Amino acid sequence: MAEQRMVSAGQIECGAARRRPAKRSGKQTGTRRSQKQAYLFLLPSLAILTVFVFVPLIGAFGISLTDINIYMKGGSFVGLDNFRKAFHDSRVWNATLNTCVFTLFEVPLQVFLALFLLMFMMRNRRFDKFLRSVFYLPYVCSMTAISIVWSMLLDPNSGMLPYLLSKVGIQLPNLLGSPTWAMPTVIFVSVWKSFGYTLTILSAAALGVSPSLYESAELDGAGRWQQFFYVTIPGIRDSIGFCLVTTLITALQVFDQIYVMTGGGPLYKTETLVGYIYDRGFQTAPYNLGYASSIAVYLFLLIAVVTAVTRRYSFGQDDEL
Amino acid sequence: MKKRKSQLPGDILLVLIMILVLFPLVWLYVSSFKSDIDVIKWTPHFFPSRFVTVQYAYVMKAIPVLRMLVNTVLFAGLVTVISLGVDSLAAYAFSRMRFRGRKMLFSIILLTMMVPFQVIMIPLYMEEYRMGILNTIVGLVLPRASSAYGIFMLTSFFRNIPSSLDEAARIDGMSEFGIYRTITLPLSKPAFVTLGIFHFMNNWNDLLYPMMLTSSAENRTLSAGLAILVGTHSIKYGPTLAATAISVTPLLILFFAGQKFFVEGIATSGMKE
Amino acid sequence: MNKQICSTVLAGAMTASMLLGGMPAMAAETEAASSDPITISFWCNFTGSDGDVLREIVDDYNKTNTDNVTVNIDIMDYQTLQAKLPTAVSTGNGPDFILAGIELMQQYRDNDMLEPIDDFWKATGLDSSNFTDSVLQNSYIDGSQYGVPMQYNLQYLYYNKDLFQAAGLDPETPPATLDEFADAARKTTDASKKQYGIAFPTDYLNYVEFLWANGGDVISEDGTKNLLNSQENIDTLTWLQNLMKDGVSPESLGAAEADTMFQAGQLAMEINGPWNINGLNQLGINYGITALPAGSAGAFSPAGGCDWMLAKGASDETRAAVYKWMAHWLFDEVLKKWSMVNGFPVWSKTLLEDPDIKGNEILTDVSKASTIGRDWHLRLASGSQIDNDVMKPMMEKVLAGQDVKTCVQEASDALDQVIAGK
Repeated sequence: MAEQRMVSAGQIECGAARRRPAKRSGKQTGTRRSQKQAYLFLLPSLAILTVFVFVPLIGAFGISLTDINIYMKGGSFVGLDNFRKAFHDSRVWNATLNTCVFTLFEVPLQVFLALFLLMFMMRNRRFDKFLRSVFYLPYVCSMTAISIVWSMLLDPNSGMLPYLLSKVGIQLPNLLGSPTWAMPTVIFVSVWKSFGYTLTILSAAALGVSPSLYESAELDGAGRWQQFFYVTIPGIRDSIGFCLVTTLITALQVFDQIYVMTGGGPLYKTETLVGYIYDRGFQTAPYNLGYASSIAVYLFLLIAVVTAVTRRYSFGQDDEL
Repeated sequence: MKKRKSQLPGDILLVLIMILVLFPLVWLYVSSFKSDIDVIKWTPHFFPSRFVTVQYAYVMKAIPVLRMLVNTVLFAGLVTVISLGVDSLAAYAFSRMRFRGRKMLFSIILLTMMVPFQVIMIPLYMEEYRMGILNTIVGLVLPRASSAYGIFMLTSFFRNIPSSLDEAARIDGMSEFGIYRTITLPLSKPAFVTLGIFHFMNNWNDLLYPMMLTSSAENRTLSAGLAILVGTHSIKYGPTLAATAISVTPLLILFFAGQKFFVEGIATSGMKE
Repeated sequence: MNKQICSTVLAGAMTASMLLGGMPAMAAETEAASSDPITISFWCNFTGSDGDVLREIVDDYNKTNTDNVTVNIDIMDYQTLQAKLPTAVSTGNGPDFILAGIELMQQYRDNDMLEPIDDFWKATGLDSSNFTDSVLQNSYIDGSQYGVPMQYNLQYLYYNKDLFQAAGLDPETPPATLDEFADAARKTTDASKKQYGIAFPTDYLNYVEFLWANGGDVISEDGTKNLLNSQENIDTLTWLQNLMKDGVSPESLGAAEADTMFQAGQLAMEINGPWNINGLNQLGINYGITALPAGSAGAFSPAGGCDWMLAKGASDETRAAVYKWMAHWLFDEVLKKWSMVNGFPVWSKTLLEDPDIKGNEILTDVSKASTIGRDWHLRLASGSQIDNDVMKPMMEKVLAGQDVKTCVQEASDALDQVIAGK
């Protein structure tokens, strides 16, 4: 409190700070009036998120310390037993590995593919606008729908793609049923669905890069590719960071497409953390919600750490939010 | 002349990817008019041996599609409108105002994005039960009425709006809310459309969430309702295709209707300092 | 996060209240005077073509019944139902009754989800002796009744008569022994046409019938003894693996895919319950049904079925209305429709005498094939754990060609864990 009062004395400085809040580091306080207002602006969001995300989340944390089952029975306090058990559970490690593999490939592929295609769409021709809409289409459909469509297309015994490829002499293996190919296929479908969204965000940002920057780059003799690397990419760094962080968070929670396409198989080769949580809590006796929740806590921490690291490096040094 | 030449390989690539994107979607629509045996037989054909609408008829009979469509529009629509309002307020505070704990609060909000729904669904259910809003539209909409993603996205958008405008207004004595309403909001239309479509889509397509929080088939949303055709042990491929087409079509129509505004709106939004 | 102390307290209170469990049901909308119209609802996971028939029967009942009862059916997939039901029932937001597999009854009862219905036969005036006793017995736990059978079934061998004929086999003498079965599978396989003799799906949960046929087993009926690691089982699984190596089955396919392939005429044989009969009839496939083939120790088939169960917390009015619906289901006309369309074996003695039933070729075959039922962890709460953690990984590895002995050893270790309650 005292600190707050002290700082609020420096009104003039803060008034200036308000103009470019993002670029300033150090003291981040405004006048008391504007502080109060800021909290009022935040109140609805914070209230909703607290009540409907944090309270249930803390509830889940609480459950992770018990061995309660899905019927809300057998709820005795077991301390950290669940966490100890999870640590020795090879399927937790397997799921962690799969989740990381998925994320490490899906996220960069999606963002790089979007950037790569953006490079060819920079002139914003009518064709480019049309393509932006087309590439966005898969994103409009639900992951479940997409997964069903691709499973049917790839089905080795009735699918269109194996058939078409066999016509040109390529024997497609049973992609989703193969321990080697299942994960790459899942990653492919995920990228296929979402790269258009990333592309839309990035191209919106790219079109916002000031034309004068390109002009001066051209004067310096930079070609189209050089312009892209030295003007466009630095110009849309914020948006790239945004896409990285959000796709990363989504990727670490991957579930729907795997649930539909492989069910975690074959041989647990595509079982991810959320999938394993779901399996322990809702699919397999003794439906141990406590144990499932302890893995969930672990996943939550994993995501938090990975996101924090990514944010630090993708947003660079200034104190962006 | 030189430019056009260097673009050619790029255009070929773009067209190839366009085909790869369109093929499954076109296949979905075409196949939803196939008979059962056409869908599952080897060798597969792209076009049905004859166009039939039995799959659609089946879905319409099995599920109160219209009723669920209304539910979905109501649910997704309300969530979209409310969350745009709520999230833009928060984003305005984060991008335009200084206050203690700004960074920490933002991080905390970001944390909520990291919670898989499967993890909190049971506690959330119990909580809604205690609050007496289970199986009501309030109980369905309220938990979604604010999202970290929305706040995150709008904050980065607002930050790119030049602050000279609101600085001038502030000198004229305009209140923060006034600035938010008369300056920031009108300038943010493209972001609102983008985010609005995003919210609408996600809630439209959501499966587990509405399934969990509604107790009767009449209150269910379309995607959740159509999911009953896709059992784990038996799946009816023909109706599944029709159901998928039904759930996707309204969104595609919406997308194409809003597309001009959407794509070009974003294009004109480039107003970085 | 540290600012969330308040919510922590809240959550703590919430968790504590959850631990108490068995919350009193909210005043259900269904509580009304007994003469008033009443609406009762049930949940089930009949997502297959049998669900269509079920919905028809419900609609018929709603239109014609004079009991003033309206029945609401809510179909969802199995996983969602399992995830939702416990919380819904414990908060009084669940259905009034449930249609679920009999393998779930034990755990539902153990976790206080069901009302006993010991007065069912008395209250409805129905004669329980008209029904096959072994079917009824599955509705009792420790002498108390918890359900009314809706259907019962075993696993059967489906075979495509056209494909048999084309391979030079007699379409009217399906394989009766494992040797004949293997022989038929090899003869009907033609991988170049994507045509296979049989499907061994990786997510099919009942391979135990093969083990039984040669005298092996997995677990004792009371769930205390691990019987998995035996020479009989290793031999049987090696036989199965060799069959797989001969290419008689597509590799790593799912059970739903296998159904589809049989419907498309790409499979000569398939092992499945009766729920596909309706779909197959609609597609006009020329198929037959027979009992699972016998091994050195005989032929066995895992028994299953579904029961109507009354959810915990039902009021007297709800109970009375649900009884009326359950009784309606037991009328011969309803059971007959169900069996005729879906091919489920008949278990009402008076209905067995019905001329239509007697004249139905598929039903006669099904009934003949339904005498070899055996209990496959029906009374074990850990059933799904045995399926998911023991049998499924073992069969997936065996079918993928891994060393059988190692697979059985690993599965046996996993089963030890299950028995120890871990």
